[in-house]
Amino acid sequence: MQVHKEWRDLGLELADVFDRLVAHGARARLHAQAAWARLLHGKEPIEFVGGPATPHHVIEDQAFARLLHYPAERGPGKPILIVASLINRYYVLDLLPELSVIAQLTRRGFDVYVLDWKAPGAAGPSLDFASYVDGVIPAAAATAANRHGRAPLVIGYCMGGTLATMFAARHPDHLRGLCLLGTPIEFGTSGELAKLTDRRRFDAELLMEILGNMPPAMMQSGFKLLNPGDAWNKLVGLLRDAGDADRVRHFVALESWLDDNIAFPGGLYRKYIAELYQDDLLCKRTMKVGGTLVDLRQLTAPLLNVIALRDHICAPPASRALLPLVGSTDVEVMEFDTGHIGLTSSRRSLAELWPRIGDWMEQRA
Amino acid sequence: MKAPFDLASIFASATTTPWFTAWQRAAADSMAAVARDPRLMRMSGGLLRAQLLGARACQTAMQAAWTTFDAFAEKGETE
Repeated sequence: MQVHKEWRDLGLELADVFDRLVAHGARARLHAQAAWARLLHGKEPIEFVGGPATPHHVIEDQAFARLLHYPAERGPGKPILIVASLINRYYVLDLLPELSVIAQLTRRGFDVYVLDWKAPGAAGPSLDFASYVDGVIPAAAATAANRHGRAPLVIGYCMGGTLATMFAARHPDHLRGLCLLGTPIEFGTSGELAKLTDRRRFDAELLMEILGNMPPAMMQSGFKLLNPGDAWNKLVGLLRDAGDADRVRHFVALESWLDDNIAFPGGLYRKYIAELYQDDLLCKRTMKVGGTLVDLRQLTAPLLNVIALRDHICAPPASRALLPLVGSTDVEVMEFDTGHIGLTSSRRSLAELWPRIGDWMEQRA
Repeated sequence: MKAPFDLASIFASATTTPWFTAWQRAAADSMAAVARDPRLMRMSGGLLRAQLLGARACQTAMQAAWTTFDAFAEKGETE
């Protein structure tokens, strides 16, 4: 039995290495595609587009996450902590020098801290919500608070927003405000993903019993099912617009990010699907983390809920459902006509939406 | 040497014609309809479940075989 477990753990570690190779392979393939498309237009290939664009340093390297620090441009500023989705890398907020939410925030004088999730490996099957909501996130918030003498304002994106919401309800004195981007709260109304994970045909418990952690390739296939024609449309778009180097850089950066994923920790995945997607316990106020109820009425920090109107991963009703549940009196909603990823990676969002979010944060941080 | 025709602009003009745009939209819509067809979702859910149950049976068999082997090995050591 013990040897069997050891082989299984080794398999989970190797799977994470394989995922890294797939991500690097995808980036190389995308650069090659872009070079061919540019050749068709008689233009030179673009320069290599890597991961995060803005200089930063690692201040803590823990078991499940690294805490990164992007210093403010003009000396120490007000701290912000970003909690991104567990499955995607955080750097969609820092894709290119000219297309970086984080760079915009540091220019405005914020000190930005980011949780960069690590692949879960053999520890994945034993992780649960408490590991993040009562463990990693409060520890990161405490580090930021110690360095600045004030609690940070927390930004949660997608699933990271759901975790940040639970954290804010359970540790209200650890943050000065909460800004949520495309965050599902009432999962039953979140669109096609809720249908795909319907209990009648999807058994997350059995899946995790076999796989240990949820592999990124399997999750990506689910996301691709939401819009199956997308891959073809993107290819046609690339071939048509390859004469414009900036567009090609944006395409390669975004698509490389989409293929750069980490596995979803198995223990958390079981609960995430069963308790949130299938039973919607969070908005029924019956969800328990670490044996105690998560009562969203305890979320009393100032709250900004940013909703993408064309979001197909978190449909707007799934996000709007939060407002009547929380205890905050300072609540604001910003609805913006874009998609889920467009919230953080489109030029229009950076020009029109993020200055408004920055103003809101400046008043509360 | 200059190519006798500009492939990029031919492609650009072909893919911006109204019929191509309409075809592209129709193709995407029909692919989405197929992917969201409840019968297909039910069938793929069933296939996934069958595959997982098969994998679990294999794992259990391997575990049982290993436990037996281990028990014999331990017995041999004590003797």
